[in-house]
Amino acid sequence: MNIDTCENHGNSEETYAIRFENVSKRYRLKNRRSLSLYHTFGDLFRRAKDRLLGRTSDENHFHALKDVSFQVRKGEVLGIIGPNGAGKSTTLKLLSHVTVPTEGTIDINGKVAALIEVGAGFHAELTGRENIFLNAAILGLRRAEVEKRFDEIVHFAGLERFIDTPVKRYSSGMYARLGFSVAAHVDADILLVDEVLSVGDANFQVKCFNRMQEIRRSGKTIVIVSHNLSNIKKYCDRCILLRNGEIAAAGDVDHVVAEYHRHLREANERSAETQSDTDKPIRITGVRLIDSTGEPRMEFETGEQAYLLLDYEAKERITDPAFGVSIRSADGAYLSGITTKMRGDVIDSLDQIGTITFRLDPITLFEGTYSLTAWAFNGQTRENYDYHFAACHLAVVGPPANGSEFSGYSCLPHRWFHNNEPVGNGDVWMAPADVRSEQAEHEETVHQ
Amino acid sequence: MIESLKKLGTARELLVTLTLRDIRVRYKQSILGIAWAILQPLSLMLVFTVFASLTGLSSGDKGIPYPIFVYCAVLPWTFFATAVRFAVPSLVTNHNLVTKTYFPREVMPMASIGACFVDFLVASVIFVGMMVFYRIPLRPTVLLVPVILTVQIVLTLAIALVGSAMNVFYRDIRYAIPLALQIWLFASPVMYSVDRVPQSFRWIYFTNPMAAIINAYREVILRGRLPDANLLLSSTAIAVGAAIVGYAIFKRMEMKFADVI
Repeated sequence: MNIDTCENHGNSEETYAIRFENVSKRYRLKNRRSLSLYHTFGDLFRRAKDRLLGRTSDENHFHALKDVSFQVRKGEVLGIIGPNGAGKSTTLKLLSHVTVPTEGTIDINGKVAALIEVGAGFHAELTGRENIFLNAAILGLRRAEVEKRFDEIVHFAGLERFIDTPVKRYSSGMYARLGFSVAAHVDADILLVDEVLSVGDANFQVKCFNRMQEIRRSGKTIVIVSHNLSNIKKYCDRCILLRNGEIAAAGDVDHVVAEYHRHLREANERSAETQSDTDKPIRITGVRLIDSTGEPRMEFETGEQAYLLLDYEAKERITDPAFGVSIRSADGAYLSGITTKMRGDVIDSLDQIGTITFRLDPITLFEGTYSLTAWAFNGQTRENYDYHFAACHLAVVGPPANGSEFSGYSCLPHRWFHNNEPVGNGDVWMAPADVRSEQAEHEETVHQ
Repeated sequence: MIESLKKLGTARELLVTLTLRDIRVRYKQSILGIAWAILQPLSLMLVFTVFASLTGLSSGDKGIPYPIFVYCAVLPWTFFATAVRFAVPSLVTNHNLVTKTYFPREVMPMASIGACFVDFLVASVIFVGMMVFYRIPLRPTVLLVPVILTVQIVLTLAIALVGSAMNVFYRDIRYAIPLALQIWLFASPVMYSVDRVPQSFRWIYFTNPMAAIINAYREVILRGRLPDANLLLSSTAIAVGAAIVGYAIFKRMEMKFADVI
């Protein structure tokens, strides 16, 4: 185990800011019991035995990272993407020296400021002003420098009025803005950002983007971990895809994102035939995502139609069979759950083998990857027969419009009017296909 | 070890900031505020004085009334005990900092000691008042107080470092501490004078470094005498040795903190 963090080497030959070489990180799974001598000795013996036999079996250890190697050049912006549990947060923790690798070497040239969880170090009882000084000190800024930048920090966060109230009174948005603002003004050569770019409203996001560009122009190195692929595309020069603790792809951002999508597509193909116990009354035997032409597809654009097909096998006659589909964002937010019983409808009867289709029309989701969960249940007793979590993935690609003029997960169907006149060229976007075709007909007749 | 000390040096501003934060937070939403710093040793002194008058315990020296005799020891003892009591759980209490950011972790227990030191200074004001009230003359030996204080702080640091590191892995340590401190209080000459310890036991008695330290305070402040050099030196050696070992242990365990906390 060898950690070599050379801070401010002043070595101009070093073009690398970060270098990971064969880094592995393992956690023991068994919970260490507190101060019980009997267990402590038992543990000691077990650990010694494991080490002697070179045993780091999967059942005893969780391998967060397995033999990971990569480099980040000075002034580069690297993005790290991957599904949950892939090892992204562990990588950030290793980069910020919060923890040390079990194996391998980490080489860091320069001072590191990490923004892992906004407002780390904030104390609820202290005021915003006091917390700025505290947080900046934790991030390594000298007091004199904080005083110089104080007004800038407060202004960036937009908290002039509230800077002297205890932060326990802040809304979560204010909290996040303050935290990001402090970190954005810190003097570090390397900035680590974990999923915090998604805080704040669209206005603040634009400010963040500009600030990140400034930091980038001044030659600093940035590492961003995010589920938000459009942010990754916006900010990053290079990208790494982590899966199960290993690097699955690295290089150009578009290439890596495409790789990520490819993995998801393969996962979708696998779930076209799902596994489940054969003695369930209703069994979902396959979950497939296709487009309006019937082709299996994973990537859609906002506004298109997607069809989720649930292939089922029904063993017995059930009076009130029902199905449900839910959508979660890549970072786990539960966006929507809809069942066939939502409007009290009843499915008359199920065939022995058949297909239930969920048509998502239009797709109102913004760019990103989403997971679809499907389940079958009894409409009367609400008993779940078959539940498939994240059975399928859906990727929404290509911003529908100006990338910084929207935020959040979903575009609600809408139209803008000014003094009763529609804003824009009048095409109806984000409305169900039936309405769209009606509208198109109507406008045709109007223009004739 | 030298590397660690260098890194610690760069974090000295953070130490000050965290100490201030500890102090502010401790007294923020309280009515008495920093007056609590005075109340603690003062009330302990009153309790001991009442107890002494009931049991016939005395300072053993006609010229020194019991209240100031006992307060002279209660004051540094309170600093020691509260510093340990706050420092040991300090890493676990601040676990969100430990798992999300990096800084030399020893800053955490050190900040607790720093905050308690400020309390100690505030409570010393009362002591000065008492010196005037009891007409104890100010003697040149008083200049040795900072020296004795330094030895005490080094000892406190040693215990704080080992205790806080172990508390991360074994959470019940923070409950064992008040118990240990209670016993330690009676094993030290706070309530009573060293003269009451039988000669045959003295050599065991003085393996407790706090015994020599407390006694030294009394000697230089109240009696104007130089403290026993041998005793003080051996206590200093114990304190320094413990601090070095404690720091080394802390730095080794530090790497696992974020994984376990």
